[in-house]
Amino acid sequence: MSSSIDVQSCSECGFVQYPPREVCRSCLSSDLEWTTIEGTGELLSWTRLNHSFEAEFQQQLPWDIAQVKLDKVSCIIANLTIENPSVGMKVIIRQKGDCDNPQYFVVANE
Amino acid sequence: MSRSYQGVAVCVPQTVRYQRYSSHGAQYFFGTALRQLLSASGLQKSDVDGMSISSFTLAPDTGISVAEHLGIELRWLDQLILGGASGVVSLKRAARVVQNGDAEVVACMGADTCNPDSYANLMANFSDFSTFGVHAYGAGGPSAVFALATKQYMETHGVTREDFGRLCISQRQNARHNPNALLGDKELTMEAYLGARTVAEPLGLFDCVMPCAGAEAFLVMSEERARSLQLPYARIKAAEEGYNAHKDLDLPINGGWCNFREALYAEADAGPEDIQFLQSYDDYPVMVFRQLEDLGFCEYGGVVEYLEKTDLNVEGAGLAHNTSGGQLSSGQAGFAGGFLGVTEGLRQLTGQVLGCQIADARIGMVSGFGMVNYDRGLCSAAVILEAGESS
Ligand SMILES: [Zn+2]
Repeated sequence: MSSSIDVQSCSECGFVQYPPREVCRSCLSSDLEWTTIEGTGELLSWTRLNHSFEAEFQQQLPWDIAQVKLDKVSCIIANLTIENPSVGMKVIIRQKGDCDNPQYFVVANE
Repeated sequence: MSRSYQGVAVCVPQTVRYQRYSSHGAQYFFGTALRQLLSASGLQKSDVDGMSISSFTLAPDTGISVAEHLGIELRWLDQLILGGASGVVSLKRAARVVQNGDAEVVACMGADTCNPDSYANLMANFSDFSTFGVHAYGAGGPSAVFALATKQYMETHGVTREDFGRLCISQRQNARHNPNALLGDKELTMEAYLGARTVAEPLGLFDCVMPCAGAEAFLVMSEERARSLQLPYARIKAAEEGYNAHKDLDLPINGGWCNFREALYAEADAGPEDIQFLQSYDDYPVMVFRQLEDLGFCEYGGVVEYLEKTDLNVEGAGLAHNTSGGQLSSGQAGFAGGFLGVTEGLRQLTGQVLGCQIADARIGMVSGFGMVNYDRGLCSAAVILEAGESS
């Protein structure tokens, strides 16, 4: 798993966005590309799911997820793999899979 | 140019009895709602020339399908997919339509059915962003996102589960005489609130609304027409809506009411201290806290202190809040949940309550909030209503 992640960026204005879109959220250009950024950021919040509508997750409950603000892009929801998480702590997002179908995992930044 | 809603009456609040599950489709609930509107107003189907509808479970049918299904001919038709903001926005748009003469009598209806599969299916296909960025982490449905928001709010403001529990208990007390509230006859104690099974930390079962089937509806027409029909009605003092507010904020807690709060009170020539009741959008208790802040009832971070000195009970001397028990007590009948605050506000102002009546109700606020496509609600709206002359 890489500690850098692939996110969409605008070739015209450089804006970095998540989730991916058809056009740039800032200047509306459709000239978008994938760019690799460092997955470093801050834990905004986290929760332990005891319920899921998804059959595959129902077998894995409880399941931890987090919301992370990266230095370059805001608010990614990801799987949480930290034992004692706390709001505000420094974290790293790691990416599994390619940019079209990524799974993100949050680990501590130690 | 005046933004006044002068001359417009909002009246005939109707509720199609909520059920946990129904084998009927959404059209049944629209049809029953329209039938109740006609019966309660004395109007004929041919008198209704405008319709504004909201529903999740109507798909693949649309608003025009409802007109055909119910055999009604219209001059004006609108369909709003704005989640919990739909009721307030429906009222606002119908009022302008009546003011402009584009329609004379508008039926505003929010209706949804519910069966064990419908809710999960809706959550699985709610939006592109949700499928890509939320559902893929097992977190489909609003509870996971609001759990994140609630935890973040608790940490920022030092709020405890007991604080949310007191709010939920006060709403349940307001529901105790409301026969339409699915949980109205079940008293909620702090022990039961704290001991309920966890859905997504820190949210327990009683922080989450129970999906159900049902409808809420009302009519919008001229004051003149309402008076000639001898219908008690409410007037709109001010109404505002906003979308995608705070799009650049990192924090998951977002409302959007703060962006139009000043305009709302200025147009109404009133302040929070004048408001006798608030019907807030209570999908999760944390959003009620945010509405109390954003709509100026208390300082940011000051909700717990505010609640210590303010009685939210419908029979109290404070701010009567979610006077029918809200969705947390009644259940969330899909889009009808976004209309519940409007119909309950109208019931209070026109003396047609299902449960408890506020003494001398003259002015109140209804607030709506909806559509979590990814990590935050995107629609917010609020209206200040006052009792009309013939009420
Ligand atoms: Zn751009």
